[in-house]
Amino acid sequence: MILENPIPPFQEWIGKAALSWAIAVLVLAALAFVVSFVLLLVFKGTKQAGTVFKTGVSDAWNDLIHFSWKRCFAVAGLAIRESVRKKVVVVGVVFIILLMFGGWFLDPDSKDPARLCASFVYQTTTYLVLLLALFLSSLSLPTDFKTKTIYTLVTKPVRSSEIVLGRIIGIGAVGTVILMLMACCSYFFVSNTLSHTHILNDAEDLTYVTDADPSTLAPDTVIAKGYTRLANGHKHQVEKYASGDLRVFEENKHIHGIEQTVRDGMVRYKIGPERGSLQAKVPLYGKIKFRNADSFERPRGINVGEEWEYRSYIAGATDEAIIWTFEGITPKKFAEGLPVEMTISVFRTHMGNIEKTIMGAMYVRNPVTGLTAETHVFNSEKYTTKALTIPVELNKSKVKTKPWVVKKMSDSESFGVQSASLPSKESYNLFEDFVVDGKLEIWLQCLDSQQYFGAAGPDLYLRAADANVFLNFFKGYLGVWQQMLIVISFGILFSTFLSGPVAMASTFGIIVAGFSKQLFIEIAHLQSLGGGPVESFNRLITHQNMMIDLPNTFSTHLGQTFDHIAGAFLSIIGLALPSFSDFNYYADCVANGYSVSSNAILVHLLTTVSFVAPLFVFAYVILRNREVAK
Amino acid sequence: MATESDVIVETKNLTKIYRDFWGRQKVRALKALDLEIHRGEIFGLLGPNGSGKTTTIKLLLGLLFPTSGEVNILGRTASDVSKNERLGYLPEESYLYRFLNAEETLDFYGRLFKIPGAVRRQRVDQLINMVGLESAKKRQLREYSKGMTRRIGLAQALINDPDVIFLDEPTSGLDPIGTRNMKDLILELKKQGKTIIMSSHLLGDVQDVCDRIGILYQGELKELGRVEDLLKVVEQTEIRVSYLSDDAKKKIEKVIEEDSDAKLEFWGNPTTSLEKLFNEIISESEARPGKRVRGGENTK
Repeated sequence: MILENPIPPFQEWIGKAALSWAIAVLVLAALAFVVSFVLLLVFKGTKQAGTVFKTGVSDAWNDLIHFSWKRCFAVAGLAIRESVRKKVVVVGVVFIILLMFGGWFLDPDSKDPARLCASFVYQTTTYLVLLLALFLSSLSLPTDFKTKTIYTLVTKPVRSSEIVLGRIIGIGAVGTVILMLMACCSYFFVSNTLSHTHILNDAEDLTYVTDADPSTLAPDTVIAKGYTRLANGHKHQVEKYASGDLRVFEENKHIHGIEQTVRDGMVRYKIGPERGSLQAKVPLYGKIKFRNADSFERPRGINVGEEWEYRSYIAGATDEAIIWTFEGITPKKFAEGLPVEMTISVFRTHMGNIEKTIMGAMYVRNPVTGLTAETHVFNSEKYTTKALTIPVELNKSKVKTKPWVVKKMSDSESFGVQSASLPSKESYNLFEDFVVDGKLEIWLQCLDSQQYFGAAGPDLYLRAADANVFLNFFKGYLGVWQQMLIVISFGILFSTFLSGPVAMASTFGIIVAGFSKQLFIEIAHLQSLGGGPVESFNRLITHQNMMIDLPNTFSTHLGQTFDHIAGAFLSIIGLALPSFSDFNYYADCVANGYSVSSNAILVHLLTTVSFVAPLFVFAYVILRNREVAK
Repeated sequence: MATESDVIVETKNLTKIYRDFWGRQKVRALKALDLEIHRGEIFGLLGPNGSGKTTTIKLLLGLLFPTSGEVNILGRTASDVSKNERLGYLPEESYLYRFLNAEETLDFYGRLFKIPGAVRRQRVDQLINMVGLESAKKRQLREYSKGMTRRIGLAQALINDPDVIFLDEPTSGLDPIGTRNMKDLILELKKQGKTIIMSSHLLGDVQDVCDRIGILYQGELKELGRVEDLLKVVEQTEIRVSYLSDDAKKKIEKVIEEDSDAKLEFWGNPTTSLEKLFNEIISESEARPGKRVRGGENTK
């Protein structure tokens, strides 16, 4: 799975993130105090400003200490009733219709149908739920203002904070129920779409490759080959062995179990339901570094000229290597060996025989002594995922007692190596000889000359465990839920001072900008091609392409100056924008067969709270200080 | 603990100016209003449309912010939400959630006062009975007529058994019977010791129930005082006698003629108010269905 912005461990992230958040909140609060006081001075004059300001602060304090969850939940209950009576369930119906017909348009020949189905349901759910949140949140309060029901509400002892939080909770609850229903429907849809079996008829579908009596052959000798019948757009290759066993090969990222029955002396095979389409692998990621040909460590390898700099490369048939350092490796956790899964990129400087795959080798290395053992030599094609297991007992002949050296760029001393040569042993054990304090290095080298291997950190991991697929599928919806809460908070905030349609348009703007935050930041920092807003407009109307320099005129400079000012303003807005695309992590995890990590949930949950909390406070302040009547 | 003053509502120099988007003055809705309303009285704000009655009520409730001046209600400022614990408010159009039914409406507002569940249910039933909506309590308010909406609006204003009740045009949209019931209820609430502040442009309603009135015109308080004092025509004398003989009439006429300053303006039978007549006809019709109850000119 591609993780361009890996989620940092919670413990490392929280301190820095909390500090930045606190500073931002304090600065904003101070700014709000100063601006409101200045505005009071302007509009109320020096005599009244102090009194009004003091009353405002005192009212806010009273609101805080008299906040009541009972009233808050009463308002939440009202929001729920309102949503239900206004037939919000229509969204659920739309979703079910989309699922019913969605199956028609999904590619039946997809090589990864689980990913396709999961992506479809997650995307559909995300858009529908966010639209629902947008409508409910941005129209709820304005409707109260329009129908003047707010008069009756605010003349009761209900605080503005209770009105705002009650709405967030109520609409959030409605969205949560709808989301859960959608999740159940989605799981049913995905399971149903992926579920299939194949027909295999011994006589018609298998071709026998030998006439010999199977009982005279070794049990693992292949005696027949063939394919299952077509189902869900694919067939599986099948081999039959002399022992009578059948093996169904993996196709479209799943396999099938086989049941063998003997009836009337005839052997029959029944292909079982698919297995492994939906997975919840728990990966253990390591830290990546590269070793160049001179044995120096580097954070990145060679740039082969790809625009996307996610992966970097090592040259084949050299001492260059990609090194992953893993922590937390214990015999208890990996009693059966280390299950490694990797997706390596291959860059060919010459095509040669295009059918021929590129050779690579994998090693384990003791990070302290430098003792190294070759564990696998493998063929690699671009972006195919390989699963290998590093055994606990390592072949003595593959162990190199001359330690491999990695030098730091800061000095020429060899790094982490205690001796030039290590004593050889009769037998080597992975955990005793290669793992030190739970740490282990896995090295990858490309063996073919003039060819390159490329990787990024998450491209190689240890499959530490498999989580519950059903639970993981539902965990995937946490991302949608968190986005929904942020959208609701923005909707409520805008609806405290804007009319319904304008609040809706503003919230929609936040959603669009949030999904393309990266682009927004690029525009703000004037990094996008064609310059800032004014320069781009200038190029548009003067028919000049994005690459050429504009003429050195006063108007060009004026436009660029304006762009710099607008850029600074947009940068500040950009910082306050939620990055909705980050929440795609959940759906990506499930679609790619990975378990959603608790660390990611925690980080994203706090991110959500860090948006919802200040938005709630802003909404409260605005509602408290606006005239309810006209 | 400080004792609460007899003055329940007090405004000092209360002024409200409505401005446009650019801050330019659109209209001065209320000009320097000084007012005191005392505990247990029914105070009526009178005036033609646009005179500032509703603006005054909105300022007192904190729905609008004053441009200048002060509001003190139950010893608190208008912006202090705690004051609402002891207030009831019936807006001009009973602005209620139309997707709720009567029971749900009262239950919701009861929750905002944190009334315990059992008490709340009892109070909801009691109020629904009081406003005569037992048969319609499960219907959503969107299906209610204007009169029914008004009645449930009144019920929500009383859910917390308030000390001070604001009634904005309380008889608006009600038929004569509803109007009578509303006025009876207002008087009943006064008997219970509640302070009632109502606005209306229906003079008869105000006259019937209010102890004191303030007359607003173009945002200015033009008159303030007790109803009977204000309505008293000092220069005229009215004598009301039943079954007066013709002889006695002649004697009285003679006495008046002898007074050089006195001038006889009217001599005849007094008339009742239309509202009173209507109510009597309805009452008699209900008592004797199918019968023509009066022999007026148009009924021949």
